[in-house]
Amino acid sequence: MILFVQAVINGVLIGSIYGLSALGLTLVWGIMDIVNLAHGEFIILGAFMNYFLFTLLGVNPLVGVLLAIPAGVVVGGVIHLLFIRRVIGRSGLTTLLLTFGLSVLGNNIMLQLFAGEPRSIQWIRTSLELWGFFIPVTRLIAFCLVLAMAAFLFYFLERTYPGKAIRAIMQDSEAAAAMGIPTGSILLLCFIIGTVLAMMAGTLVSIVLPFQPAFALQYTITSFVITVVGGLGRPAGALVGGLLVGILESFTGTFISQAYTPITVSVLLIGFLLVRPAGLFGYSTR
Amino acid sequence: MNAFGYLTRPTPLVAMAVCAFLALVPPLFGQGDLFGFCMTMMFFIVLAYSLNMVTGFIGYLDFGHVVFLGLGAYSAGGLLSLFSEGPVSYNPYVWVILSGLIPAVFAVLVGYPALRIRGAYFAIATYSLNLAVQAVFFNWEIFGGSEGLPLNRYLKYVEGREIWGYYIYLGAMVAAFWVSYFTLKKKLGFGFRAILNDEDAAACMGVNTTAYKITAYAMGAFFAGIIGGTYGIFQNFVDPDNFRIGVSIELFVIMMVGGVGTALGPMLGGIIFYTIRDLLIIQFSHLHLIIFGAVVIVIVMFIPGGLVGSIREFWPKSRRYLE
Amino acid sequence: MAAYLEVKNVTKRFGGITAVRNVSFEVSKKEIVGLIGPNGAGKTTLFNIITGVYKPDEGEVFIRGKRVDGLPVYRVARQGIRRTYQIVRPFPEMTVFENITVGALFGESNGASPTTEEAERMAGDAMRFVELGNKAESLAKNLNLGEKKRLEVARTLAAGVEIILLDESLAGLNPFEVDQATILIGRIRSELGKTLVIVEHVMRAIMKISDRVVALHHGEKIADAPPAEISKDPRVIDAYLGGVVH
Repeated sequence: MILFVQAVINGVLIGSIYGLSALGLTLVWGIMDIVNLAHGEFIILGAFMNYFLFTLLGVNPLVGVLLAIPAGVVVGGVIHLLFIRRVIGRSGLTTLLLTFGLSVLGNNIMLQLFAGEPRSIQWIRTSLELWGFFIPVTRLIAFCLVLAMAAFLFYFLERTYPGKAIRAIMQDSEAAAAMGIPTGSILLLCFIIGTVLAMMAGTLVSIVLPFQPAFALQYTITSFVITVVGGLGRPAGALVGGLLVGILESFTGTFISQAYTPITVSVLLIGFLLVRPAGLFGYSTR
Repeated sequence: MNAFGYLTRPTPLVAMAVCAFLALVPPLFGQGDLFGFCMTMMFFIVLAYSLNMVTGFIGYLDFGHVVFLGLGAYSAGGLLSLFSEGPVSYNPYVWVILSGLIPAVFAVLVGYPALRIRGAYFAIATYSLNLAVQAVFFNWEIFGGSEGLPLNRYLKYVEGREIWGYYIYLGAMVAAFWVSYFTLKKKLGFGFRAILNDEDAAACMGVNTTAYKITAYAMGAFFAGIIGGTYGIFQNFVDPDNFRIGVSIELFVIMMVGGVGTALGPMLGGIIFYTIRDLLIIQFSHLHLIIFGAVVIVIVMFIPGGLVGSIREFWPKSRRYLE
Repeated sequence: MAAYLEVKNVTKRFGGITAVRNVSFEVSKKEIVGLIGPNGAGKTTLFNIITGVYKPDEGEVFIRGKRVDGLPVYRVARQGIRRTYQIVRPFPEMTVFENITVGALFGESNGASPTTEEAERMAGDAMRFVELGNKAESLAKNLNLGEKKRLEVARTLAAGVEIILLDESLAGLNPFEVDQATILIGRIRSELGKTLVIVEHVMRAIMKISDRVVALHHGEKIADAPPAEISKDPRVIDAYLGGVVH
């Protein structure tokens, strides 16, 4: 029983970070119809950024999390303007292969520059102990940050003009354009938001777990699974999906073996794709 | 046109010329560096053909295609370890065919649900499937688990085994070319291309899309499996690293450079790709992959047809001859 | 005479919307039936139900006496029916002749699958019938709209089946092209003996060429009569918001 609850706690804590990372992917995919296979690379990039800020400049990792915002704007903006913008509207195969190329490029540039061994930020090592359950402090901090970011994102999408414009485009891009919403710049904004969220998730990862470039693929797939489970373009779905996947991984790791997690996650993914492809919160067509 | 008539057409002529050259390498140049170079190059070319059968023919991005390579390797290794007592001399043809058939059966079983999924979903599902199968073998102690399975307990060392591997690869390459070439000309290929262009319209025209897709997937699995099985026996060792995703990446680069969906593309792409890779990999460990990522990006954005596709696009007359 | 194509009490719902409600009609061999109705009336949905893309929530579809609703799309097609699309979609990366050959290869010749030679012959015949012979080697994506529409028609004809559904084949054509296309459609019945169901908005054409017209409105059948009576039917005129039928 204790093991069960501990597994749930672990799952929720890590799942919140997964959820944050999936938020970026689900927005970009749902609104721009771009499946960003380089998503994991953005996450690892954020992790490296925070790591080097901490180890080389002594910057507090929480500050690093906030710095993911300007960093994400720059990185996302550049990538969008140079590459993504040119393939919007082209076939699905094209955008997939493009982001696939970007992921290979990015991953190997990081490997060449930073080497592949695992890194992590040695910051706060303590855990809280409540009723016999262990809650690592860094994970708790990350969890709270995710909640804060999610709240901010919801506010942005519901209350601000750019946010509402994004939601409008998602509903009907032609009508949105006809109403004078400048789709081009909104798409740029959207991709930037996606990148910022991914890099921010990466900074949290660097605080909480060891990371290395080889993990990028894992994060891409996990974010993808969460997006499918939660529903395309549904931020609430991404967060709920993140918790679900986090708990699933945690249970697999606790009760079977860590090495089996790809199997259970695959089953979840393929199960949803066959039974309810629209996800928990999505609209089902047909 | 009878079989020999086809040999006078440009595309098969080029392909068979390449194969003839490769056939002559061992007798003329021995088993030195060129031999090793050619052998690994053929390894990649056949795998590119196998991926082409799925992604090029029906347009389903199989990012996890290397799973069939691994399954082929483990089929050969697994069968050897399970069904032999003490060192046996192997009949290469049996093991090779089986290491192609077992992945093909797997492809049919998995493909039936999986091929209902389309586009990006399918791509990621195959990635995910590959990781899952790799995890299964990682944990399966009978087949060596994470350490892998050495095979020399089961295989009597036969003098000249390397040559055997070389010619099996060559044979597979010849077969892969001809299968690809003829498929594109026959009803099967028309059905594939219809699915590639517009799957729903194809169904309304009477194409049994489910059966055709599974066929393409199984064909790809078969050829990848053959290479995997041969590789495993030749290396005397099978391990979960056979499932590493890096190979899939390289296969995509080859296919895209050569021309997706063409009969000559994988061969030409493989030659170009492997030559460059071999030249670069000594210099920097990851530079060649960085370049390949950039190549993929450039091709997707500017020359989607690859080598063969672009020639056909800009010089329509060539379409009759360059396939 | 038993109906060649029969739609019987078909209903289809999408979530809260009933796109097609209790629609029934029959088509006899070699008849040309026009299917009209305002946008959103359910015409394309009905085509999708007949061809098996959608499964009806209620009702049945029969092709030449055989029940086909619920069958996979390719099996419905094999019962002897082909269609064109409202938004034209030939296989873009294949040539005109290759496009039509697909139609032929997966069609029928004397009740069985054609051989490669038969298929090429059928494709050639279809291509010449729609007068696209001069474009045989052009990629479908490079054709203009009128040519693409003729290509789609040729693709259906090459299959050698009896029943052809045409979905707004005249949309987007200029008046000259409309007249040419109307003649072509007439020839499909008179020279090739096919049975046609045509969805159309160009009233002039559909009234001229149909033996009978079925009118839909909000998913329900509101009329089923020869063109002369349809043009006087108050419910039809009403449905088109007082639009005058030429």
